Amino acid sequence: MVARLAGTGLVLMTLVACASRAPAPTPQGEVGIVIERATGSVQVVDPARHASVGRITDLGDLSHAAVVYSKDARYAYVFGRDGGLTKIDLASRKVIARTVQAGNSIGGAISRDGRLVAVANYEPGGVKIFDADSLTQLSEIPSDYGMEGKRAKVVGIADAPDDRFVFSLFEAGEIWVVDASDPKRPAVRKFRDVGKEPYDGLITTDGRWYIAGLFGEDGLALLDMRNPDAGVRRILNGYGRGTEKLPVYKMPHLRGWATAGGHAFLPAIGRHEVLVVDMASWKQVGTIAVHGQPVLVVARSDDGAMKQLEFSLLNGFQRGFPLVSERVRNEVMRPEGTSDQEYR
Amino acid sequence: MTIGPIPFLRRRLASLFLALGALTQPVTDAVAGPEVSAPTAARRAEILKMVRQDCGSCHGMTMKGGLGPALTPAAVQSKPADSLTATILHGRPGTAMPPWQDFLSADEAAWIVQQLQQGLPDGR
Repeated sequence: MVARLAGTGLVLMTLVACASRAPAPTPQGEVGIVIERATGSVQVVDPARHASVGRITDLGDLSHAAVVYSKDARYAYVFGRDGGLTKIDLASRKVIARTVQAGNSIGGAISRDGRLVAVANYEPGGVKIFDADSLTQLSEIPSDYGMEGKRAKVVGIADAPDDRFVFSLFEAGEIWVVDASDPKRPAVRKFRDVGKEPYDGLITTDGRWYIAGLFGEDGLALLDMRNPDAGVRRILNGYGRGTEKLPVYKMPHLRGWATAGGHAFLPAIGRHEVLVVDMASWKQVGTIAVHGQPVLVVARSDDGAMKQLEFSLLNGFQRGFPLVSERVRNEVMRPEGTSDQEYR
Repeated sequence: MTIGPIPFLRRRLASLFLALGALTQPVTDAVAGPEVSAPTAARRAEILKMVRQDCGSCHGMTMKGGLGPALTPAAVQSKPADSLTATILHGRPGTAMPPWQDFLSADEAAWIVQQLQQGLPDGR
């Protein structure tokens, strides 16, 4: 049973990478990239031909990695576990620039205009902002919190409109919004006491809403990026209704979780459930019972309408990718509390 | 045999899985100390895979840390083996460290601690 789980991380990363495929200037059309975690390399693949079109090696420790693309989708920025940040030309499959900018990092974001790349770091905790052309460092924002000179691990970094980045501080329970319109002198706005242990975050594709998932309590933190003065508010508070949560063997990913058809699909921590939220009211409108603790949900749709969801499930050492398609729209969107056992 | 890009990709994928498999070769008997009854070779391979892939999702596949602390020899050598074993089995309430006793015996947890303190085999 243990062996069955072994590839999960790879598969997840592959899924994430493929989900983020983007058009590139090759005659073949779209390409995607696959992170080869164990070997620290990246493959460029052509999904239409089901073919590998190249491999880039020597990218350091990619045992955890994340990728963003330039606006024209020609370049990929790969964030490695060891703080490595590499800019890859997808057309020539060559490394354009590379820097090892921290000791341990989790991921990054690219500004909406494509000029800036921001990296979220665990060690030393904080965010660094780079020029997207040259990978020259422009500024650093240490994630200092509390009174003891500690730095928090930065999670859930996302790009927001108006040259902003938004991210969460795991140990501190804070969300910070950085205005990088002057990238050498970024302005930081801190939202404190947003909830215990935010573990990841997502921003809706329109850039309006930032959501941080909380590990330390049942609920999520929501920030309206159009009106940050309104502050961070709690959604889905106490979704477990006081019941004991199960041990969590794999922290879910929030980035890449599905928002589709006016609903957001969010993981219930320590429960075999996906929470369905109405994005107009931010109230829970249903749950989808799944076989294990949800790790990743991807909406497979180009037009934003929910057509199909994939679940990656991890229940101890069980995993699988059952498809939940039109049934979700037709049958699961029901008032809270009704049975949805048929989807197990 | 089909001709074209698909076998090519398949070969690439195969080499990818081979690369992963190489991480989990059974260790030699020399690493098991007298105080811990070592699991069988097949089970050791399973456990090492689990340590890298599942413990690794928080502690890093290379054990250099992530959301959880680093578990490199330098990080864990000075800590008492018994308390590390207890942490694996029972987790650490109030933190993200879950209990693993549903999946590991006490001897297996103690063996993992020994491996971590010596450095996981296969260098990665």
